[in-house]
Amino acid sequence: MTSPETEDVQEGSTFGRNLVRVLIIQIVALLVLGALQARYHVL
Amino acid sequence: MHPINWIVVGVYVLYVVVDGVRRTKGTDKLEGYLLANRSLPWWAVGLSVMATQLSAVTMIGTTGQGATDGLRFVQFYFGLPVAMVILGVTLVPFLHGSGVFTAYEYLEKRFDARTRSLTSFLFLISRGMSAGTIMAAPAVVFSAIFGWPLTWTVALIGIPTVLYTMVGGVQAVAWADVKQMVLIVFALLAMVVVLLLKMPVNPDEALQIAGATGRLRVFDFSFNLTDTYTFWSGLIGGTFLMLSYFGTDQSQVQRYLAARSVNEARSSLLMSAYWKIPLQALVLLVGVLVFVYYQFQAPPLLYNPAHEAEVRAERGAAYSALEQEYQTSFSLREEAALAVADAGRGSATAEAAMGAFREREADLQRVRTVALGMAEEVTGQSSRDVNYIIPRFVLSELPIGLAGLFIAGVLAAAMSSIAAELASLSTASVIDFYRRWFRPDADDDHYLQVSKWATGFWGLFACFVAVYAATLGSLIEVVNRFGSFFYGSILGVFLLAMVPRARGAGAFFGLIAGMGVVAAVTFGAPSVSFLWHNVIGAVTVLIVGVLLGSFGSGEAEG
Repeated sequence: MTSPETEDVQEGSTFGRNLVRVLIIQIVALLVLGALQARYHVL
Repeated sequence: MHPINWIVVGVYVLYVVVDGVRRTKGTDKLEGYLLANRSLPWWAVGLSVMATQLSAVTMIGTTGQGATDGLRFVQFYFGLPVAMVILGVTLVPFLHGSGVFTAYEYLEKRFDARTRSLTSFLFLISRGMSAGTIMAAPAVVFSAIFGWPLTWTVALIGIPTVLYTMVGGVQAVAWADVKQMVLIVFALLAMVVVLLLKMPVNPDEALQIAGATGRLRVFDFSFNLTDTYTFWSGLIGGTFLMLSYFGTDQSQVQRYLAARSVNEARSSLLMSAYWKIPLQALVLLVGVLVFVYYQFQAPPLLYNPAHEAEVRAERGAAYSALEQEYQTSFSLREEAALAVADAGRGSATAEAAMGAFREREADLQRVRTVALGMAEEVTGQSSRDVNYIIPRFVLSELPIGLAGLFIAGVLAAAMSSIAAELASLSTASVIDFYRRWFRPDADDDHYLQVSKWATGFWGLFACFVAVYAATLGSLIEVVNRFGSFFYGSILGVFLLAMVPRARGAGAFFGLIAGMGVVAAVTFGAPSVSFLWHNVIGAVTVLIVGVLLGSFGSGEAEG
């Protein structure tokens, strides 16, 4: 069994990992959308 | 629709109801029924939050908007990830840590009973109506598409949803949401694949055609308070809107209160944060690809089949002549679209091809405008048919089975949003009013039974509003407008709760002042986009609340 402190650290690291994912996925999504506009939008 | 498609829809609805009704483990106590014993893993809560926000309107209306207006609507969601991160480090620990059932219950702990009751009351009237309108949107479309009476389509959506929500509570709702989210994403991805396979041009050429009409413009960096779909409106106004929605609306708050811990609750919001923009872009892209598909396959002149039938019956000859004109315009536009695909990019030939294509597109739209005017005259109703583009496409163009899957996906999206509304309406009615003011000393079993009946009552109320949505039109508009007055203001109250010197009087009168200022802006400067109302409301409450707190006697509250 894990101690409450260990669980807190594990949960904290889940939150941290998710925060990093948010940043990476947003940057990638915005870059892809920006690339789509740069390549195809002509109006 | 083909019988196999109906079987897919039937099996799906049956599965959701049976599985939801079976998930009653641990729901014999109030906390189990309303908050799933605070035991849900973060990823299930995250998917449930996303499913709740993705309604049937997203599946049929937003895809339709992608077909007519392109990708720029995605800017509306740019504030969402920012809001989720802010909520994760501010409100979520407060709400989850305080052990409350509703977000408004926390306001009594921090301020006073009147602030709690007023915010909860505002939530009940706005969400009670919106549950009905969320149900009405797909019900009206299905009714026109399948030629069924509206009461049948409302029953098809409403009865299964009320059943599994009433019996299984939040646990059933959340786990149904997880399955519904998977189905929705699968249906959307399958549509993209089918569209790309069925088009006579390759994906690069398809995007070139879409880009020639401005449908691939995502970013608009102009700063304009009157335009909702700009980068800055989305980022600043959108952040405040999403903070209000995810931070103070019980239908969302209830999801993450059901998470195992504060950290899991925060992670669930982050999950929604990282998938929302890509998912919304996918929804809009489906619409854009349908637009390109209809360059090579003649679309109906009127997408609403009920309107089409009425116009044909009353003005058959004129409508047939218009259809012939439409067919000629379509053939010319098809040629122009193929020329765009062949011309490539950057050359003078490509520029000329795109110019010609845009002219042909404008010609086609002129014919459609005449037809829409005719539909309006004949039916006496609005002829706006964006919500019918995708259902018509799905039923006439998608392979057997996949069309059923998409219709099941629309039902899934409707059910997940309505179920969350019903569960939260029931919770707020019982916890914030019944238990607080009428029967504070009853036992757990009593509240559990009352909660189930309250869920059933709100379900019936939503069905009633959905059936009479057309006749209640002006009332619903009033409620929606009224809702936009207080959404940002309620956020202001929750933000004020984090200011140490703030007191109950500041919160209560700040809330009223915030609503008043937003009402004044709404009527005094109607061109200001509603996204900015949330900023104005929240900031007004904070200023009034802090000022009243500073001048107060320093009474010990909270």
